Amino acid sequence: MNSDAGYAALRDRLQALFSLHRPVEAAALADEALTRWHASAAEAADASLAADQLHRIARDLLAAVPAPAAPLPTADSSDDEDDALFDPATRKALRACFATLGTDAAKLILGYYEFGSDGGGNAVAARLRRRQQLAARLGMSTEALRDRALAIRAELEACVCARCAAGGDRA
Amino acid sequence: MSTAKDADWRGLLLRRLPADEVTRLERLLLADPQALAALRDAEIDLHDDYARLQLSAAEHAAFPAALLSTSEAQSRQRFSQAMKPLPQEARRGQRYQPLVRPRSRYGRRTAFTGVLVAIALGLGIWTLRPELITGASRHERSAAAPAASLAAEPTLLLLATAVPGGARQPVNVVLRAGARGLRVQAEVTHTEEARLYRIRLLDAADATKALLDIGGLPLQTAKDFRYVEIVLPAEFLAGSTRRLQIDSLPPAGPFSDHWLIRAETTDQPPIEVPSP
Repeated sequence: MNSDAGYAALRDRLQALFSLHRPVEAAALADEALTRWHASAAEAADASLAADQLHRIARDLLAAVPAPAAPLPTADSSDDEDDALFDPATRKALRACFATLGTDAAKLILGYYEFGSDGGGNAVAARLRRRQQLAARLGMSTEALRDRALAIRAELEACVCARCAAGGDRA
Repeated sequence: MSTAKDADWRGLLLRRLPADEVTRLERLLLADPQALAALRDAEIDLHDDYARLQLSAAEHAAFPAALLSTSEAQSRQRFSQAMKPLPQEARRGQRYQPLVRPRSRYGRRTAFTGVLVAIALGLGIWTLRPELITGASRHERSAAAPAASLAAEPTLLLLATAVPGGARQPVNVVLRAGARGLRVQAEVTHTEEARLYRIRLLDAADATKALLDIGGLPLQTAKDFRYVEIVLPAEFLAGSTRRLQIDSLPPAGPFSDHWLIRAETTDQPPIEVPSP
């Protein structure tokens, strides 16, 4: 847990935890939790113990920070910046970004995020089965496939954001 | 170390788990490096399912408060909306088909003097008397099938009149007992190309009481039909008359329209709809 990469990973996990409760303040709360953890002198090297310590700190912080007043999104929650990401500009940008993916990445992302409504019944179970089959076909574990799909999707999202921010005519 | 299934992460993200289970998953998230990827995977799938109307009525109702409350989350949802047709387009080899946004023919709207209601089931669309509408699918679904598609649910088309916001007769809807929700497509006759709308479901007797309040809903088009779509959970429709209110969001200019929906439930079998 002493490497920079280890801290960054721990911070990511803390931020994800805080995002479940206080999405707007999640990054700041993750930093504060890590600061308190280091200052507590109880910093455990064992991952499980460290998780318990951090969880206690995180819960204390959540108890101390008041919850936001309005949970439902309203007209005020949409601003111009978001508007720029909206369809059809987003879709147009996505097509352009998708075209820059390599063939393997494009096939993987289409296979992974294809949805199974045609299978009927439980779409979640159908999706799981399809992903297991896809992983077997590609000769990788389902976890490795998931990580690869998440990475490609993040790359696509970043590309779309950049294109939309740069203006629709580029997309 | 404990483990978690995809359903656990979905429940956590939608805030539908008991406190002890939340604690267990939070600890797992901090202890297991794979857990974060599983959580992100589940979050993306939820966004995609929401965009594709594949969430159960309960999940659909929980989604906006849980996963659309920040601008970042709303951007993610717009990305999911944009991703929606990608697999089909790729299969058809139409990835680069130019986007067409048909213009609405407002002039023809003057012919409408009231609300026309139609139900689209499967491949056909029939215009029915409002009192004949049944809001249930033929298939009884249990709450244990959370992600069953809503595609087979009937669609209520709320068509505009010549003057948005003008007085109309209430739309009568009969829902079968056990129906999860009603997909509604509210027509938009906005003279601007507004992109985002807000829909509220209000108690008609007390317009300050919002049962549902969702912003950032995208304008959709099907040929000349411009509409905003939402799935209304059946439990929000039962009881008294509801007012479905639609408003444009900034930066577009104002647009506002509304319909009254009067829903009741029945145990009677659905009315047979003749083939077109």
